[in-house]
Amino acid sequence: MRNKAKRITAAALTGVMALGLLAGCGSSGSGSGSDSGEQVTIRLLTRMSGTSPQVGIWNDILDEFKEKHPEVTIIDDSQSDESAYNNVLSTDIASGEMANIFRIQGVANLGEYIDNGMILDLQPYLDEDPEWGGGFTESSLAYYQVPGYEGTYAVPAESGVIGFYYNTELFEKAGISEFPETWTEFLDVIDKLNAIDVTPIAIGTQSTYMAGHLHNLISYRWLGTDIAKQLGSREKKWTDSDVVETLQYVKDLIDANAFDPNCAGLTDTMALTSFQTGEAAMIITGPWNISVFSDPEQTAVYDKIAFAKFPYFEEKPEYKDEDMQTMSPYMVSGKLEGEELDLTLELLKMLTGPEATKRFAEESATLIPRTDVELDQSKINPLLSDVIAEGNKSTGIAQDIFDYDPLTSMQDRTRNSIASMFTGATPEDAAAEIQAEIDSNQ
Amino acid sequence: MSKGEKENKKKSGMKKKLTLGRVMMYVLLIIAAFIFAAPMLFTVLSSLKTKVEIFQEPFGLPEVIQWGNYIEAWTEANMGVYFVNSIIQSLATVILLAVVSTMAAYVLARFDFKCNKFLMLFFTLGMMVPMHTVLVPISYLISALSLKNNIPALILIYTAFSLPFSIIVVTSFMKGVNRSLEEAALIDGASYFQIYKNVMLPMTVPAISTISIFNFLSAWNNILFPLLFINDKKLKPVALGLLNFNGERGSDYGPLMAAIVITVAFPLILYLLFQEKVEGGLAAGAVKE
Amino acid sequence: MGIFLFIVPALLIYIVFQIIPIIGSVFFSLVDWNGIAGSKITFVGIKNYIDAFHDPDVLLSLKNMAKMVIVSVLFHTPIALLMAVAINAKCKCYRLFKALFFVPTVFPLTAVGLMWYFIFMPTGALNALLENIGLGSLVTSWLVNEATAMNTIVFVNVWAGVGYYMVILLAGLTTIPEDLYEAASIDGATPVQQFFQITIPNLKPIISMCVMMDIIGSVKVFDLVFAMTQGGPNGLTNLPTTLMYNEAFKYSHYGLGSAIGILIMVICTVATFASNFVSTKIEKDD
Repeated sequence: MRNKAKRITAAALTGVMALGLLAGCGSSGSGSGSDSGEQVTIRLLTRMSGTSPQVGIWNDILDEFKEKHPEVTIIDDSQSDESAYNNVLSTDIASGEMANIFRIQGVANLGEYIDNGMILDLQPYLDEDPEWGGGFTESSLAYYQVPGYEGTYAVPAESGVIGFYYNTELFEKAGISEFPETWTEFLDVIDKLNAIDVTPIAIGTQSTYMAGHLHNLISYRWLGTDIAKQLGSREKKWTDSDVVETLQYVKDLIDANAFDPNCAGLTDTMALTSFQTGEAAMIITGPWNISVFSDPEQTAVYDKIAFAKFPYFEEKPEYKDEDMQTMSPYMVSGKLEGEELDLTLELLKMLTGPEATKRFAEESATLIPRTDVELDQSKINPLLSDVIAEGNKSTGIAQDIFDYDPLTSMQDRTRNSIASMFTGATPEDAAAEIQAEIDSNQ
Repeated sequence: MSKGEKENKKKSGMKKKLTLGRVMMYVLLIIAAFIFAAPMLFTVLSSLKTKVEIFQEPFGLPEVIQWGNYIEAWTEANMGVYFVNSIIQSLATVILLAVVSTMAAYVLARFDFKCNKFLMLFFTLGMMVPMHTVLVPISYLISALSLKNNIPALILIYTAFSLPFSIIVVTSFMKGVNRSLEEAALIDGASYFQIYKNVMLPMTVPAISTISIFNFLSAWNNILFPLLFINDKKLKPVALGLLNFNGERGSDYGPLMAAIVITVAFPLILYLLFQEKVEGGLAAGAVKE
Repeated sequence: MGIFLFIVPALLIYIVFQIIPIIGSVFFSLVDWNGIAGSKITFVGIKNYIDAFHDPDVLLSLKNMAKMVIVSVLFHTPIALLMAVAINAKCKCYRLFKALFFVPTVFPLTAVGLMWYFIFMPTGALNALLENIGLGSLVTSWLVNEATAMNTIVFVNVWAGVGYYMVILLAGLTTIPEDLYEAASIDGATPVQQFFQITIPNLKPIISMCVMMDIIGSVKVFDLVFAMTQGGPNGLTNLPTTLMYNEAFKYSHYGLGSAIGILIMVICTVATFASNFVSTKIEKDD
């Protein structure tokens, strides 16, 4: 018996020691700086994977880079699946070995990574090369100026106003001549669409981001895009009455039968399908679906789709153009030096420069927010032109409301709680649940 | 022979007495069969339809049979590559386990070391460890040693998790093997390694095939470890490939259904070919305790 | 003595990839670490465990787990036993039935989960079927509705596992001597009486083992939930396993995640010993 105990203790000790050693190795041996002459490897970790047209362009640019620099090895770890992507990212973060170019959702939580030297401040490089750096819209770069830190920690890879895509034929059928501009008119339109037995808004909140996006739009119209920063800095609470009001508006839409009663069990694909087949009159989404919407093979109603911004509240005309935009960033690892850094930046410039911007916009309806690109209007999708035009009017932009929240769990927390209103939770419940997450992590 | 006769007797005896009972039994069996067959048939049916058809008429036949779903799943969604990866990874695990566990079992079954009992207990305890318990440290280990996308490491992890079961099954089998051949070999001057290789291994083939099927299926079906450690598209296994369809913004359900069929096909064929073996393999863990 | 080297590879793999990680898990469960390389790892004692027991999500997941375990145990073995008896009676097409019931157990659970997902989704096969046979009032969002979501997943777990227990019990049935049945039927015992007086008593050790394996298996369920609901909506269908995965790998709460991981192991171990104890007690009482 005693022998056994001894053995177990010994095994335990060995284990702890081995683990300690490994931990030591991990943090000290991570800087893989490479001097000239050495083989350079560039690893990429984005969501650019799968079969969409934008991935095709992405791959073309990588090929072009490889041709220019045959000595460089490119490892593309990009993952289209969200959980797979998060896994790779979190192991990278845990080991400190970031990909050369990667993408992290959110802004406020970047602080911790910046503290640990994982993300490069791109401002000097943007200034150094005005031809590349000067082309980005100011508001998009400002998005990645992390509160409390000097510098710009990402460049935008994709942007675009999120709003309503709607079916003009169904609108006409319901006797609606124009897309409503105000909230009151909007509620009226929902009634009219219900009267002709059409699902007014396609949504599938099993994909919780769809509920989140709806709420983002409402919040920015009701409280301005600054609300995201105010909630993130804890200046405001989710249980504050005006924030609860934003949730109440979601509830109001549910109560007005704006959605399929089963929408809580539907996914984004199913919601999209119901819009594409003409069963639903509107859907909230971003420019990434434009190529799908204009493809007659995928979308039965492809020639009847128009774009409109989310309606504004009569009481708050000042927030009429406070817009939700999708913002995907490219970040660069803070640990790069010398040739590896130069090559990485070169690739980054190829991926976000004017040429790439033109290709992405014209061939895949993907917008990189640059002001220095002349798009060929004949090549460009009319829906995309509308999105660009609307985007230029934005007075303030923000993506998701949790982007400025330092808690990583807030993405799921906010989306889950907002989605729970579709299964009967009250706005007060949802607000309390979200606030509780913040309070318990104080 | 006589056993068979008895069985027949019993059967005919029961048949006479139990007509109502038998009818009930068949009704229940058929209902159960429906519940088991329906989801599988439904998946196959859906895999030949378009996305819209899947949503709008779940039971309808496809207007045009969409073989394209399979092509898309196999090539564009990379299921072909994942399929091959799964075969390689599962087979490597099976082989490694067969070697390592028979070697260990040889010692445990045939030699009387003081610590053998303790070792047996030590390995048995491993059967109770859920993967989730060790996920954080293993992922830490993997990233600290830069073993991400490292297939040998993945195989070692699979091996570690199937090792307790394999050792227990093989050891108890070896204990039941007659010693006379070994003793004869020993007298002939064979080394322990030769005895292991030439005597023990051939005689343990039934146990090895049992654990191999079990180990193959657990490696084939595992999703957690590859989910965490394999992100290179060239190295992913099929179970993970299924999740690939959940793209960034929506997924395509026709090819996803086809991918489910592809993923399930291999274990299904394995089972149909080696029905008794597979059943025996899966039941072995239970019977041997 | 050199022969001892034979066991070394097994020991090495086992220790490095199973024993050390368990110790590591205990270590991680006692610290606070945000998952960022280079940032501080602080020792916090059992805080993570205390937090876990105050976290409504953890409590809900434990409740779900209890449901998963209890319902699985209540259904798996009894249904499997009935199936095994029917098949052992060599009914017509018994091979086909056996194959059909068994085959889900060789499928990856991810695939099983997805298969059933398309049946239970709102526009899925089940709701369509209910509408067609005039039971439209039962139509619901099976995986979303608070009353049905967890039950639906438990059902799929029962479906996916019952064949496994059937095969084990079938193996047990063949070990019961035919004479016992013959003697009983000569004494005029009905098949139902035979079932309760011969089959069940003789299968007791195997039944109790099935129950034990079922408990451990149900505690560990992960893939099914991950494929069907990812623990949603709003955490409603989380199990400790899925919660652990999210906490550790999604939110980088490695401490809390590890604590849940250790908790799962403790539950497994306790359940095993408890069911072992109960079954030996039952056997002794006979």
